[in-house]
Amino acid sequence: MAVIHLSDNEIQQYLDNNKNDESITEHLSFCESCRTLLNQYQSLFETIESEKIVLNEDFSINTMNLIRRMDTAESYSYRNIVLIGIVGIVISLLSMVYIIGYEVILQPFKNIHLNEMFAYKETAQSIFDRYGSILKIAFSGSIILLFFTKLDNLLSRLKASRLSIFSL
Amino acid sequence: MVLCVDENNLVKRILEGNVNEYQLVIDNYKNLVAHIVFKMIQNQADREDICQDVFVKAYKNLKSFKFESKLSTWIGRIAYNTSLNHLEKKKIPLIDDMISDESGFEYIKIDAISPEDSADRRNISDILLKEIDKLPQHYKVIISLYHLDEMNYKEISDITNLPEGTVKSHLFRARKLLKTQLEKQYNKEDLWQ
Repeated sequence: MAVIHLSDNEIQQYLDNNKNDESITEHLSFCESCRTLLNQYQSLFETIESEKIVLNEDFSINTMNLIRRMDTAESYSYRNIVLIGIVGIVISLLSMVYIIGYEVILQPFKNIHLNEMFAYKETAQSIFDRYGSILKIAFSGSIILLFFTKLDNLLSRLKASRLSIFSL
Repeated sequence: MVLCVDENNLVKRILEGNVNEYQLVIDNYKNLVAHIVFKMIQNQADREDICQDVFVKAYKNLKSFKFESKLSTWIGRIAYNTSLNHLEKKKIPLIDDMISDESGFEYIKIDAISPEDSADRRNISDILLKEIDKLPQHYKVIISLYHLDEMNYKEISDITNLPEGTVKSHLFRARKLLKTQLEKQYNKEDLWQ
């Protein structure tokens, strides 16, 4: 009677399942050829598992140092965003005063009362007319602020990456 | 690979600002990350930098960790994707489905072995490692994750984004290829003694 041998996949599966397959165990008990194949795969698996890939022993410490520096650079960056924000607003206000004069800025507060503002539709348009230049300056100020924020962010990242290069 | 402390609590503590506790994560998963990166990236000089990059990315994105998967598979996925991105950036092609059958394996350069250089005088482990190194990246990663990190098909599938069935067939095929390739070059008796 011809013996049907186990396939490579069946042998591999058997080893993967910690030899928990009675039918295969039984077959192996009398089939020399399949037992040889099993031993070959077993030897292959053991050799694969003996491989050691080891990182530099200072890897964890170096990585933690890099992360701490990046954290510091980021908090430095947020602090700067707030500072630049305040400076930006001050510059915008000063520019506004310089360009249109404080008399013009204060004008609406002298002439318009709250009741009038809500009573007439025309008043809204009038407010927009009066504050048009202020809005433009505020918008320019925001753009300047955004530019400085992005620039600061970029510098912080550059600083962190330079530090990491030096540390390696 | 299991953390001694509760993973979820550890992540929460790091997110609350205990940065130093992240070292525990690095210590526990650095081998896993190295197994993936070293198998994907050939250039020795880039390997450790990429491993470091993986942990920095994981730290920065820790907020997005959903506690639904294991931290190991989450970090493994970052390592795998970072390696893929690196290969893409350097325009290094992934040797993926180039192997359609065993004969296709011959595209791999086989070093000439002199009779004196036979397996009985060389360490089988060194020979095998050289052969593993010649395998396509996917195969190498799957073998490492399965045998060195003791991951199951589901976990490997989560990391590599390959279907579980594909992971299993790649694993079986890779091991059979290794065995065949070794036998092609060396005397069977010397090899499996």
